[in-house]
Amino acid sequence: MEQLLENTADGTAAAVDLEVSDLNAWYGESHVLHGMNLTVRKGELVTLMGRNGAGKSTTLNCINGLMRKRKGRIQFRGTDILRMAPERIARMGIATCPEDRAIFSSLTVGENLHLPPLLNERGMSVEEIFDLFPNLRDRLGTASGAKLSGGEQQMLAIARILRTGADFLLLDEPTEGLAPIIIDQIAATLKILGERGYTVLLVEQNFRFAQSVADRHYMVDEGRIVDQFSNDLSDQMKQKIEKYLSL
Amino acid sequence: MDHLSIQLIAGQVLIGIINGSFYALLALGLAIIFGMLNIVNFMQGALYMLGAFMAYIVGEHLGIGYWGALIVCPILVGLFGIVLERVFFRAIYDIDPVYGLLLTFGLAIIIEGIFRIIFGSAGIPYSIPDSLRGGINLGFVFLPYYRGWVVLVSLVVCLGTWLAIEKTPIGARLRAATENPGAVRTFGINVPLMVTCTYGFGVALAGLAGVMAAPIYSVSPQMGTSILIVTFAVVVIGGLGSIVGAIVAGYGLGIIEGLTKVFFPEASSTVVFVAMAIILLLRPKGLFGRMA
Repeated sequence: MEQLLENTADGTAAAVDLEVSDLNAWYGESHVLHGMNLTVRKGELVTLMGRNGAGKSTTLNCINGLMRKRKGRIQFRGTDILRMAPERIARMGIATCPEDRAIFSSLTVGENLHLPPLLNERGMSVEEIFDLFPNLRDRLGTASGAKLSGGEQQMLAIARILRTGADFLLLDEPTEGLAPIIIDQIAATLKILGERGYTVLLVEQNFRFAQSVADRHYMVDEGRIVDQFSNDLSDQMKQKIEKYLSL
Repeated sequence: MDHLSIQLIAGQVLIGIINGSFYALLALGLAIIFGMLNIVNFMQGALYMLGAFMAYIVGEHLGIGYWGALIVCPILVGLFGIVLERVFFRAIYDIDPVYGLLLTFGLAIIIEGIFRIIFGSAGIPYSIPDSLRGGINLGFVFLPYYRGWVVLVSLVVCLGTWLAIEKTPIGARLRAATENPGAVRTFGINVPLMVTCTYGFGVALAGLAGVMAAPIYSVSPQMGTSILIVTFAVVVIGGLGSIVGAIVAGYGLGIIEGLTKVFFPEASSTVVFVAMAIILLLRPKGLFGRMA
């Protein structure tokens, strides 16, 4: 595997799935992203790490199209998606698991699972999903998605985007507020997704978890990338990373 | 209680159910629109009036009778709504909902004004289709066929709409988009298109109510104004945005209004608003409103 990203920027080793360059974004008048640059290759699991408010979630919301006021360039598999509507971006194979999980309380658990339309035939079957998340099988008849525990909601939020055939996943802090045993389950799931060739851009503040699943890390601060390194080097960089994540 | 007063009560309850059929259809449309667009559609009454006028116009100029009008006019009103949504509403979704209220209020005044200029304020009669003339004596009350038909259509449409929203995959998308439109868009679902279609359907319900009202109440430019005020009370009592609430409160208030005419006629036009005030004091979110 490559060591530092700078040396492999030509992307010959693996096809580039996503290329974000000079991305700027605003919430109203407030300028929150100041020239983001990042690259995700096919099959990679890349993290965006940084403090609260650093611009990690905003970056994901620029990629999936929810962020309205944005400038720069976002290329996904050779297509410029910066000006596309969220539903069109989604149909290209980019799926989002948002930080708030977006489990719908007026939908049953089964309706939540089947809500996203299938994009192609390559998605996981419901049986495969239940193999990954056995707890969901028993909860399928639950009348409201809001009745699930936080861990179950997180699993449902991941499970429903695996059904669709999307193979580029944006995961926003999937471990936030969850018990260690559930975090382990999510880590195991991400490993399986890696083996199946999914590409994942993961926003995370939990460094131990990120280290256990990722190929590469980006450090985000004040709306830009301030550092990047391969996961092989993450032990040596531990102190530096902790400094980036501390308040 | 003697025979006569039972007949009196039954008669007023029947009138209440018929009025309630219109309240329920109009309130259902308002509830669906509010849930999806977060807009209080002050045009609902004007579009009800438009539905009734459309029935008259297609009858006069195209020779399309009641049964054709029942299909064509709601579609025309729905399409008109879709055009308004595309042209006017897109600009106001991101700002305070009060602008939506003001916009639809203004459009309602314009539409009603245009019809007043063209047709005058006097009512235009619209006749009951021949096949629904007459009625049946149920023993305790005489039921005109046409009014029975109105109640039947209203019940079927309300129940069908409720089932479609609560029990079908399309309905699930609608409910999800009401909760969190952004998340639903990231699944590849075209929420803006759903919003447009929802508005079209919501106002088509008003158009349908208008066509059905044409033979009962005379067709006039101001027919939507008075019913709209009651409809808003219905929606508030049922719970803003609640489908079940709109239907139940629609029929319920129609019946309460009818009964008040028997026992305390002076209050029959205000009882709805007294009920609204009481409900707002006891349950500010309405009978079926979700507690935020």
